Amino acid sequence: MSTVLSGVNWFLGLGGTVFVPIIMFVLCMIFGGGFAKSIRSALYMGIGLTALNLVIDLSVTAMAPVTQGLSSRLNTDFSVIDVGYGNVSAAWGWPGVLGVIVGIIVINIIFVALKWTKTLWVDVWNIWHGEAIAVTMWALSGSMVIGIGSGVLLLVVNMLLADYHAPKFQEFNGFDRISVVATSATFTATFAMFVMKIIEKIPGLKDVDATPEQIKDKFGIFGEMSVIGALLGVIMGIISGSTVADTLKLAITLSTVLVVLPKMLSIIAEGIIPISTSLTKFMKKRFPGRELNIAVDPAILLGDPSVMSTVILMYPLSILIAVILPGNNWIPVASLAVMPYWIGGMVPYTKGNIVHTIIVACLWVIPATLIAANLAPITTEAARLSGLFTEQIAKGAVLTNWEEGGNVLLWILAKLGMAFGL
Amino acid sequence: MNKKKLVLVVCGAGTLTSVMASQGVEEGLKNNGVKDVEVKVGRIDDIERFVDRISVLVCTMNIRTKYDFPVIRGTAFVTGDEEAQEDIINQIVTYLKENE
Repeated sequence: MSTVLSGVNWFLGLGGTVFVPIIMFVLCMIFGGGFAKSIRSALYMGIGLTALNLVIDLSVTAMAPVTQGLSSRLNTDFSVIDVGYGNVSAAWGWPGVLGVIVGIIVINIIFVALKWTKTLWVDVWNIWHGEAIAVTMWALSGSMVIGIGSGVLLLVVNMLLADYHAPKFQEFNGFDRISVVATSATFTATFAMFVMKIIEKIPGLKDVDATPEQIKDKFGIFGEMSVIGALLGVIMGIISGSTVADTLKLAITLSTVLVVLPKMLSIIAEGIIPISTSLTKFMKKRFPGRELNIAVDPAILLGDPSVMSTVILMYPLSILIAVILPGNNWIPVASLAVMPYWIGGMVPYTKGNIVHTIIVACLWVIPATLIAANLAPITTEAARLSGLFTEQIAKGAVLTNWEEGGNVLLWILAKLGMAFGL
Repeated sequence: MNKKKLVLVVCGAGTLTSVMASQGVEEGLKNNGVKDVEVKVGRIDDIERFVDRISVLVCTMNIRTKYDFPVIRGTAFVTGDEEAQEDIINQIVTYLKENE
């Protein structure tokens, strides 16, 4: 027994960039992906995770002095650093990663067989949302079981919400037989649905309108990640009292982070896609003739012109909200990359009305930012335990982000856990 | 024109669904013996940058803007619908031939 245990410990001690590719190789082989595809899949997974760590490290190192400068100049605590999708790395690289993957796929097969769900969970990438909750709850409780349980719970909630929202998503975006299981769309869609029930009761407000094309033309390049990064760098450099040289360097660094980060995620995705395609074939073979919705990434929800127009407006608005929000301790920079996905989940319910979408999005940003601020210590611990940014964390850096650091279900679970003395 | 023909494959983030579709398109073109075509992955805002070069645009979501080049929806590569994938490849091959 002790040999097995030390073997497992040795394996996990290799770090996420090594053991996750090995796990992915085995999974891809099991689902019938073949040797060549499985090897490629495993390597890209490892490359993507390593590359993502590089970029986030760059961002954290650049932001650390700035957040301190901002805090002392503005006389408020803004010392927590935004890692954006950097936690994807912790999510895929924690020791219980396999538990969550197997957990949700097995539960999905059971639910489909019992006809409790119409969603066929073949979207392997978006299992990371569950992994993120899992690694954070593991960091809080020290228990792998609680971690995996919490992660799978989030994914099951997402699966049921995906069923509920599927008709609306399909109708608004003109697709058949798809559903979206990512938190960024399921939670925001649910929120938008409730807020719209209130907005529709307010005379005057329910009839306002603004066309999306006007906004996109007016703002032009300010919707591009490169420009947003540079602009934010300059503004924050000036406010934090950095020198001109440091301010310009910060502008280029943030621009780099916002442009390069999605490419790194894309490399991880390249590793995951072969597993997803093999899983799709594997599952379709087992449920022939059933009318099922294929789970796809929320990126397919971003086609409506109102999405990017609203996103452009929400970048400055959400930073403003973060600055004036009492009790907040961080400013979203890297996390802004989440915004398109959030808005994509909201527009099917706001029917693309920009005024309504902005109201929903502002109301959503407030709790997400505060929860992320509140959970920052646990998010940081989760990163440290996964071996990420350990140097910066040792120097006292505290990290957070909107997704999944600002997840309401995570917050409830964490508070429950604390109440029970974890 | 020395430049290769360009098939641009886009999605909202240029991260996941566009990569899935581009892998499918590349494989499909290869199986059909189509050569000298560059298949590129991007985000919706990349369309502007390549607008003069695009022969065919493949997108995984519903693009409502009208362009001078054909726009094909590549969602089938995301959902794993193999019949629809063949249709898409045939369409792309036809467009590329018309363009010669």
